Amino acid sequence: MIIKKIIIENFRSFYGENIIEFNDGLNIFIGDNGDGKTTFFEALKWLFDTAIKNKSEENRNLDLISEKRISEMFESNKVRVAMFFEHDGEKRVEKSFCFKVNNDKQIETSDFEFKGTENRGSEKIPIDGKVLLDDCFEMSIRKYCLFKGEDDLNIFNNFDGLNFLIETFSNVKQFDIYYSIKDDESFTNFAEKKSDKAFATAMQRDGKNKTKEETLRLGIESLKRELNELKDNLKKSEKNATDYSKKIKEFENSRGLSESLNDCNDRLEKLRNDKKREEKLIDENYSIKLLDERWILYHFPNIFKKFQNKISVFSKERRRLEKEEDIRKGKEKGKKEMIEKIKNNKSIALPHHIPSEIIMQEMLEDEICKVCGRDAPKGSAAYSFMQEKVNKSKEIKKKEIKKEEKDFFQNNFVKELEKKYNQLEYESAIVNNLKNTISKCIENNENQKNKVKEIEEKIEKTETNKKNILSQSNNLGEKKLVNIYENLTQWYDSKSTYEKKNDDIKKEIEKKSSELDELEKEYGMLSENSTAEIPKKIHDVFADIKKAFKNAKEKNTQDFLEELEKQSNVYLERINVDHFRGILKIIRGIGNKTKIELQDSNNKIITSPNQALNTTMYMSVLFAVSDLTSLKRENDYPLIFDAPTSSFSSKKESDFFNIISSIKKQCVIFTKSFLNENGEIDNDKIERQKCTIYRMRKKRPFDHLDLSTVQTELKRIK
Amino acid sequence: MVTEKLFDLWGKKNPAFEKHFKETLIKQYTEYGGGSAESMFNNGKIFGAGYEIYIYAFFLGLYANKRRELSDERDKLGQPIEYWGNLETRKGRKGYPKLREYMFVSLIPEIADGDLIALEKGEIQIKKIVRYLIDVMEEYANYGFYQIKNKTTEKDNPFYRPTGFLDFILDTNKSSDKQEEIIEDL
Repeated sequence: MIIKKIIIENFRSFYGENIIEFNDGLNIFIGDNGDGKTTFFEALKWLFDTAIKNKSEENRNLDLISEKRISEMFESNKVRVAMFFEHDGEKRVEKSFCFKVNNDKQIETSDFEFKGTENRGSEKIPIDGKVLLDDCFEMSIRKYCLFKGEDDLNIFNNFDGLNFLIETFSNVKQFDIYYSIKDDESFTNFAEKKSDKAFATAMQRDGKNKTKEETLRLGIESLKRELNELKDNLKKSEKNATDYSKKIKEFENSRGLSESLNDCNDRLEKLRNDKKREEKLIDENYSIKLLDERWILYHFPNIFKKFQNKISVFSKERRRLEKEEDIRKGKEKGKKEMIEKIKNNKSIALPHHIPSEIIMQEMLEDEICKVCGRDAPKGSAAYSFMQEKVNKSKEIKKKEIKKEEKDFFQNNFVKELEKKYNQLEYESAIVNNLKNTISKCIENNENQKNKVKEIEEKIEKTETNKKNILSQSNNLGEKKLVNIYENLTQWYDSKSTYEKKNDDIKKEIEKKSSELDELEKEYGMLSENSTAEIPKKIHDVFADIKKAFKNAKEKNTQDFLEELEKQSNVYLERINVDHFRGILKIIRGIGNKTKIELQDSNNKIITSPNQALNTTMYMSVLFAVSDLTSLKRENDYPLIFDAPTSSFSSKKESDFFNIISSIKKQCVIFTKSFLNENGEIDNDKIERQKCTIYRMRKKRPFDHLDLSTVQTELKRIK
Repeated sequence: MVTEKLFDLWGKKNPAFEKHFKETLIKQYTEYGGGSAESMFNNGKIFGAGYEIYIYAFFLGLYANKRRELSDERDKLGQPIEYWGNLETRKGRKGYPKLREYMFVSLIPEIADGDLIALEKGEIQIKKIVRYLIDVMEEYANYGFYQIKNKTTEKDNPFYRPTGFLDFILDTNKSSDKQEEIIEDL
């Protein structure tokens, strides 16, 4: 099938009717982001989609309609994609539906059509579009034809992709009616089984060596049962291993993301704990500190000075008054003594308390003066003297007590205040240092707050990272993605366990098969010269035929894969001139599962090729598949890629397009290449290309915020 | 001779404040009268007992060296001074009984020299001096309360900021050497 012309009408940004002519080789459509490349690709995809469920559903494709067309409110309009193509003559397929804006400004669609025509001579024969497309561009081929981005290319990354290819395009399918591992009714299986049964019946009937025959037969039957069981077990075990492989494959790409997400979560937890810890160190309860830490005494030193002055003045004044009083008292006392002295005019009398009152009392009672040792009987002058002295002493004592009660200062509050002063003076250093204490505390809090802010910034950054990781995870969800890393380890273990089990079962099968061969050989020998000899020979022939078909089928598959591998490597080499490319290997593994690998010349697997090499690897296989299918079908089909070279360097991209244009194959590529940094065409690069090139761009002017002003313009520039 | 200490006698008093401050300030900023959890949460209680904002107001007046006579509508604090700052049992707080001594000594310079001597001589009754100390204290606090009140009427009440009360008192740095003035009206 070769595309000759495409018409796109009112399909999203393709306003009105757009006619695009194609050549048989490379057709490049160059456009910047939003210029309509993917829309063109989507239009083709829509046209090629023959799996229409029902018309009403198709009618719901409101998002396919050109917004510009809707905004113009024409009474009736059509969305249409048509393809004119060459495939055993000129043909045309067209998909369309009508739409209008009703009174409620709602869009209504109607008249969905999928139709085709075939030119027979000068006559155009109408055919159902689906039938025509399935006939000329069959579904199985379409699978290897339309690719969006680089990720789409890995259709061979699963076993089914390649097996489907082998079954469809190699010749192995024709062997199925003669031999199939899955089908017991295939001819060779059926014939071999029936002849085996006939032989066994003949042996039993023969009756010769009955005992031995029975022993061998039972032994063979038992071994066959065991083998069947082992094969069943092997199948189950292989299925388990495959299931784990699939899971691993499915999530292996997410392992890095899972690991990163776990790292992110660990980091977030740590940061949040750090934040909590640092926040705890912030103590901004300044109002409470005014009291509890006595910060309120910040301005107190001046007040304290006032108190100090007051105490000092108070104390001094008190002492001054006290002194004055003492002087006054002293004066009074001296005066009295002088008067006494003048009065006696003799020698100065002894103080009133000498002898003491007790002694004096004793002398009065004894009527003796114990100072001079003379008698002092009652009535004598000496007795009267002593009597008077005692009375005087008592009187003085009384006066002294009375005098004491009338102290000048009755209270001593100065002492209390001085004590308070001393106590507070002791801790004045603390109060004087409050300025530093407060600044330090505020500074510490500010530092802590900055630390918290820094942590918050880190948290924000990590959360952004986390969002990025989650956005790359194909909506797996956080919970699932978190578990992947852990699950993968378990899955690898389980896969390895099952693979080991597979090997053990295989060894057992080999051993039992060999035992079975021996028994069957022995059993066959029993038939010599018996009536069972002919049935045995017939069975042997059928068994050989079955083996021959089996080998032929395998050989055919192998040949196809070898050819595919060879052809793919030719393309790989051509696309990767001057670049490391490795060797593409198509490997047929357990259970005939097939996969593609890149190896180096030392047979070492290149596990993570760069994206460009990966892309060229898959493209090479696609080109090879296209070649092989063309050979088989005698009909080519186009390969359509949307942005397949995003990861290519400029040089590689240029080489790539040159190589593709030299391949005899219709290729349609939508790309941003050939645009310079300003979004303008790089004419030098265009000059070097040998293919048809269209420039796609948004028609100017347009409103950056209004979709209904966006229209794709197409212009052939080469 | 009087054996009681001036400090102890002063400590036994419950100072008074203008009654309206109970609703407008004391209950707003303290847990005076055991405010509800809801009001504590909503209004963001900053101090514990009612006397805490009283102490703050007192120092505010003291540092500004300004006093204001109380109006006749008065109320008294529930706890006598001698219990102020005894917070050992309260979670997350630290006791500050010593602050009472600072408050006490700050009042002493307010007593006229002659009165002190007369007190020593026993010519003036101690309870008269204690009454005087309490009066002075109440007037300083009263001035402080009015200052706080004025501040709360500002557009952006600074006392809901962590540094509100701290900044306000640190900025009150009038020289105490200035002649004391009794402000009748603000």
